Amino acid sequence: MKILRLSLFNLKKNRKEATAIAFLTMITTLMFSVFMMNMTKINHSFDESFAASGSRDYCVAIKDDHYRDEYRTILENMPGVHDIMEEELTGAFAKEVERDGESLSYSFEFVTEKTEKKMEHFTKKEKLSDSGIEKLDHPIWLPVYFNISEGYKPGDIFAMILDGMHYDFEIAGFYESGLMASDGYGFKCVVSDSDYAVLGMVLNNSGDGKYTALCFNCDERFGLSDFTDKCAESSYENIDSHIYCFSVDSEKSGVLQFLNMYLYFIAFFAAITLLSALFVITHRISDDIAEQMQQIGVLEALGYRAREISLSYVGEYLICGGIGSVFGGIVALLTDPVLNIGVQKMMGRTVSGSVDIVGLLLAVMLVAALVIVIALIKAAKVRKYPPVVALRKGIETHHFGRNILPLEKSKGGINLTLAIKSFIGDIKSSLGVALCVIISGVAILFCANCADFFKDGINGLISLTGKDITVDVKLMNGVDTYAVRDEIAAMPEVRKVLISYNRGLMDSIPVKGSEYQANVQTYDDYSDSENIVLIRGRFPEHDNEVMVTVARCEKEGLDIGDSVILEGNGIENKYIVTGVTSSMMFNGMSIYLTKDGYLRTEFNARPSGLSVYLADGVSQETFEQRLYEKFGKSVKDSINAEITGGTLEERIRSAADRKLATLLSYYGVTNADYAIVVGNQLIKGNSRGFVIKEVSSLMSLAKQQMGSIASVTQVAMPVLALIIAVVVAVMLWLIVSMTVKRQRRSLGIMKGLGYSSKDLMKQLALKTMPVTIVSVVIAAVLTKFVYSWFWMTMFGVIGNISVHVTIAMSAVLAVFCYVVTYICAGKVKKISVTELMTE
Amino acid sequence: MASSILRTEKLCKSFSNGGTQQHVIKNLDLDIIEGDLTVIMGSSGSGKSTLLYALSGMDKPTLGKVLFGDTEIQDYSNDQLAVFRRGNCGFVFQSVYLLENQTVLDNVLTAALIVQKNSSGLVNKTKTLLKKVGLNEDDWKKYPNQLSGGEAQRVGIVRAIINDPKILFADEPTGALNSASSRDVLDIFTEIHKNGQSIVMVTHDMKTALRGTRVLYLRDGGIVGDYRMLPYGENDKQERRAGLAAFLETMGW
Repeated sequence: MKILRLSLFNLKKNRKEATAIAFLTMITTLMFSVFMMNMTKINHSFDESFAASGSRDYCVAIKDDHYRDEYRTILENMPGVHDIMEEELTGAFAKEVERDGESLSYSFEFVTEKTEKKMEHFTKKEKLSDSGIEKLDHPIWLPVYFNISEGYKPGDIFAMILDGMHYDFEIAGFYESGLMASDGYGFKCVVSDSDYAVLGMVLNNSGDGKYTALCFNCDERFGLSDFTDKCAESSYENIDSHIYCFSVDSEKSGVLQFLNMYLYFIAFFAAITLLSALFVITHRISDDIAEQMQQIGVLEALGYRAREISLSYVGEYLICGGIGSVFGGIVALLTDPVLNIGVQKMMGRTVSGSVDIVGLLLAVMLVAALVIVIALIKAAKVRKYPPVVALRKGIETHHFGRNILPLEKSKGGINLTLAIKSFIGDIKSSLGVALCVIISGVAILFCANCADFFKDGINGLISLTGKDITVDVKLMNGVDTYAVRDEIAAMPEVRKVLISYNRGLMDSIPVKGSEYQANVQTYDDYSDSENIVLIRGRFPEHDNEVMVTVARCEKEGLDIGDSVILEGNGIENKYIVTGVTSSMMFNGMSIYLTKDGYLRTEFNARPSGLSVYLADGVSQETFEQRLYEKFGKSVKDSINAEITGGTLEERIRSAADRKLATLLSYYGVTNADYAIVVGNQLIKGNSRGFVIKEVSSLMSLAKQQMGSIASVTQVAMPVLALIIAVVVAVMLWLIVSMTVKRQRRSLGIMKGLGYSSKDLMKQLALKTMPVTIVSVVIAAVLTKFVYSWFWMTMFGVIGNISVHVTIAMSAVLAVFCYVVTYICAGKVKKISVTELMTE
Repeated sequence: MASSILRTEKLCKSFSNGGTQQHVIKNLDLDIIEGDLTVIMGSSGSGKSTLLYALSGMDKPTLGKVLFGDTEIQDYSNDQLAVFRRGNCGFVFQSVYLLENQTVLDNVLTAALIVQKNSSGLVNKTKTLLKKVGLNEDDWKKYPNQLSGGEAQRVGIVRAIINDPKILFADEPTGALNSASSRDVLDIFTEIHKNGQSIVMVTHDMKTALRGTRVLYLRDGGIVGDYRMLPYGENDKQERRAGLAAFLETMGW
């Protein structure tokens, strides 16, 4: 009881400091609680939604024309594999969906309702009424992602563009899907049998088309490469390029990747505030003991044991730390429903509304326990002072050391000199301040760099794709690609045109000995590329040279001079690594060849289209308009064109063109002629007027996949930086308060000598500057490493800090620390000289 | 006739004590004459120190005026008062109040450098003054906890006069010293005064008061007695002591 009374007395005496410590522990607990609760929640929610979907854990989809029945037998014999189910689905990669005049790109897998019911439970969520669904011509069931994250509602039009043709589906509802329900490998959509049949015909390019899906559970970790190796042994065909493997683990990591990233950010920031709080507590207990030394001596003389006195200090922090932790926990609990909305939106899955009380309590207890342990360790210092030593105020105030920086030799102003003297004399406590400023500085500079990176939305991320984001023009079969290239290159809207050989976005080649296939980028001359940055070595120049990414180098231990063997079309080709670049596309595992190098492996490859670099300020829409004026409508537009025209002949020609476009686009027709007799009139035409098949850009895919990351990060980073700035301000306030309290006598004497409050405030603020400046410089250097580690870990690319942002923010941080310290030092105004002298 | 350096008009100073106002100085009119060593005496609680702080700009009066020459300082802000003090006043305290973490030399220079620029002249002046009060070169590098009470007070005096203040205030400067140290310190004050320094000193010690040229006696917040003496050493010590004793007796001391 007497200990509690002493603690309460101390608390009452230092109300503001106690409140500040309670605030720091509150913020720490809040962030830790958010981390702990949501870490558990997102994992549980994913597991629950996956379980509710009834999906099997794995699904390998093999392109129909490469599938053999023996593969199923091989799978059945793989260790731990059971519950195999074989079904058919149709894949469509990087297809545009139009909404409110804007196009976003997604990948899809289409199945019928019958198939879906075999693959999963087909658990429906938001939906139209049964009678409403019956009225729909083209109903589609989408994964709940589109409802939760994209804001679609039942009954909305879902306007897909599949190889040039608009397919306006009507959303019947949303369902809980296990696999194939995220950005990474596409979204499984359930369509009617008749629509599925049409899609099966429409989607027949490159990676698109029908797949045989083998869904199964596996008690062990399923090894895809083992499976494909066995398939190759059995069939003498390498199916690496024709198989996709969906697994619960990859689905989960895809869904949770960015949430995990943000939660680890929060945990990192919680660690910073915790460190600041613990530092301030240790600092304060030491100060309190030094200040109350005589009082300690008196209490000891009165019969209080050292343990009881030290416990009174611990009690003080138990109370304020406990209150802070509990409040932090309560705030975390109150904000949980709001956070749930954001978490659900980012996951695109139903998130359980239940609160992880264990996680919450763990966070609260962890913070409170750390505060108490640190307080116990520091307060044990009281035992060092028996009554006589304590009554003599220890020997702490006595100075015998060398006089560093004697005033007689000082050159600068007296305030600066005294500040530096004071800093040197108090260097031990400066180390704690340095540590806190360094860690906080890293966090703030990291946030500033991220905010700067995302300031133009997704442009920053696009710069890291390691791929030129151009307007891609697909040409009709039989069109002279080189001639069209020259014509387009001459357009004023165009800067440059390159010929593309790649078959499609998902075109990839197996790499011998690697579990990562290679998405291939090709250029005749790499000086033509604009978004591929050479990190070391040189670009490939010959057909036996390759450039790889840093991510591949790290994962596979490659470096310049090593060899990479590509396994295309049943043959192996060896390439020497000449350079290293950075790319975040395809998990950072692209490889870069020359055109001839690519043709060694993909000898059937032909010019597949044109990559057009637009002149500055020219939009894709403007370019397309000019392109169509020059070459006529694209097949895509012709298919969708209204049949217009004043005369009968014009209307017939429009209808005939539309029919031709459909034949060219969907049925592999290369040339067609028509002749229509209307009365006495013969109307003739042919397909040679069509040059352009389709115009597209990867920008829409980039927007869909990166847009939400960019916008969340844009908002989150400044907010997190602000929180850390507040923590730094509170920490500095506490330190300055304690310094003023500890140096009250000296400051009072100096006031008596004629030093104004402003002089003393300046001295106190300047005192922190050496440590602040050094810490900020260290923080800036560390930020460089932390930032590049972050980008490499998250995206497999090298992230470089912006030098000018880092320098500017470092300066702002140093000035911020000075201003905060100066303002906090305003406490010296309350020191009364007369009061001091009449003591 | 010597001119007034410091003047008060209807000076009042009150303190709030448990909700009631305690009037320590009441409507006090006073002239401090330039060149005087003015001693303020009085019984405990008579308001001696309160008056000293009000005169020196250490504290603000509740009512009335404090005029330094023609300048009224009673309405100055705390920072203005600090600037006023550093330029015009020197202080010697009973508890000395040296800065614990600074050497003897630095303690003096800390007071000097807020007013003057650092120069070899200033450092030499400081060293000369320290030598003059009996502190040799070895002592300059010492910290306050390595000094005796008398030595510390001598440092305090040098620190107070380093900026050539127009007026030197001393609050019981020998209050914490033994008799030998007290005598040494008082000799220094006498020496400084002989050089023309105006001094206002609070004491309750008669030996200290004997060094003055004017003794003011304070009771209940007002001056009840004003006694003049010749400068110390210009008259017979016995006669001087008897005169002051008689004055103090009439004051009921």
